[in-house]
Amino acid sequence: MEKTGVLSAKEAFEKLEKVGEGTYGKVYRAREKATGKIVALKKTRLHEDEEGVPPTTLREVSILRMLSRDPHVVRLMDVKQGQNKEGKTVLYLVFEYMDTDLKKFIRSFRQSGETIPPHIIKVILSICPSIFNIRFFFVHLFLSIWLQSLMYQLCKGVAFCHGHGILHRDLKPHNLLMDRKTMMLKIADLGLARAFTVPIKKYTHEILTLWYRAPEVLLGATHYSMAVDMWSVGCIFAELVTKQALFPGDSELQQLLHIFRLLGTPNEDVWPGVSKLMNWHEYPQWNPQSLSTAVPSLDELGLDLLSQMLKYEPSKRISAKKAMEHVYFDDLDKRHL
Amino acid sequence: MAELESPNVMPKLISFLSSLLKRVAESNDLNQQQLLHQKVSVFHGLTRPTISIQSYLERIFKYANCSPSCFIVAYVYLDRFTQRQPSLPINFFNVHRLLITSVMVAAKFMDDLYYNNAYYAKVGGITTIEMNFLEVDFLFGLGFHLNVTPGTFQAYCAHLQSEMLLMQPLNFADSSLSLGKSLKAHLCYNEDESSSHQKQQQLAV
Repeated sequence: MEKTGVLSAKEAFEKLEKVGEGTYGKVYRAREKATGKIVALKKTRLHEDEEGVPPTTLREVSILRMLSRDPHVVRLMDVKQGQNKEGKTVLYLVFEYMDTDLKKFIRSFRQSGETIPPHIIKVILSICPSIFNIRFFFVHLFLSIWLQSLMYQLCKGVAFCHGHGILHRDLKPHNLLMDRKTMMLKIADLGLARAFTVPIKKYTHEILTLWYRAPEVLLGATHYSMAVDMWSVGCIFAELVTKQALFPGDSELQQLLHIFRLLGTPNEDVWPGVSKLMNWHEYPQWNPQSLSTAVPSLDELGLDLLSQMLKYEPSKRISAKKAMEHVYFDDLDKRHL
Repeated sequence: MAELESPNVMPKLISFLSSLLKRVAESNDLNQQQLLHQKVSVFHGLTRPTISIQSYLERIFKYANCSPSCFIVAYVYLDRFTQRQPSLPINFFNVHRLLITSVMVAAKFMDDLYYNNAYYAKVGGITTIEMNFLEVDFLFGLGFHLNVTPGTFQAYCAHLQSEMLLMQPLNFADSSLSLGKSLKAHLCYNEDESSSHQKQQQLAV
């Protein structure tokens, strides 16, 4: 963590291109002049008047200080303080550079049908050498190995966060960075993350992008657990298979109704305490559908894992650590992941 | 959590933290040897504030409206800060600014609902611009090391509790104060610091 008097981006970094923009500033692909290393530079404006250091920045930096050593969490290399052209204080977060994210990756698959780029085939063969024994194999076989690999990496990264008492609270394809060449997946954007191990008054329910938001959060629970992240993992799993969001609601109510239509309207039998939650009302009554109707191309083991990730009762939802041990991942050579 | 929120616990904790910090500041102000090596930082006031540490901390407690845990976490931050910045010991010229900054940072990190820097500046009797400078310096001084594991939290609670009982056995013996009890329902996790927190030299004189 470096505190320099003045750090203009010109001095330390050569900005190559803008790759994104968030609430508090821009993200650039940049080259570190001293080393020639390509990095992602997240420039955070400090609102001089009222807020100071945004809590998202404060949390992200401190949490990544702790989690960055895991291969499935994006690496924060440095934090520098400097000034912009107007003389206002700016923080630069220097991250390792990843060339895509899961959202873009899914979109590219959706556009190209089901063709698999040759470099992915190479990676898949290294992860699952047993494929060599199969004389004729189909695209879906490749896709299932690719899917298992990404899901295993995601569960591993989430398990690492949870093992250190950190809830991510904003898991979605856009926040999962990828290296196209190696198919390595890394969890990023921990601005909404928080430690869940020290008691506090209450959590906000203004977290998490709607489509990946757990039902307990939608129903107004003020204390929630690791299970909120596992719900998001389940939604991402389904989206990886179908290339479509599983529950694409455009309001909190619509989001709940999407969930209820597929999984059935919850009640005290399937989810004790649900009717006591703040936002609980009398909802239309739907019976649960088979998950295979929503994710038809997922095999039986995959459907079993998905169903455990999408359990209504948070305490019954599978943990990331347990998910890694699920038989769905038995074919993977986990040494490479 | 319930323990910290019971009405008689927090005032006693605030009172004890105040007397603890007062003793630390007195000790460091008296230590001429240390004064020679002290750096003047943004936390250093030109004059010694007239408001007592206790009144100041009570004011923060009254207006900050943050989780009670934040005061324990702020105490952890002050300890980390003094360990990482040995040339900036707590004294009567910087203790007030360090206090308001540590509580504000703890609330920002811990709570989802908190007041902004401008509000804390008003509570602390400083300008918003100064509050912002203090925050950035404090964060870099801590190396952004803000997370507190349950093990560390509990250790500091236990430490404070034993110090309180040692200091004022008559006043505190009846209060059955168990600051760490609220964490029993929470899962405990290993982290680098959780094994070393016992070794850490804490703020108590």
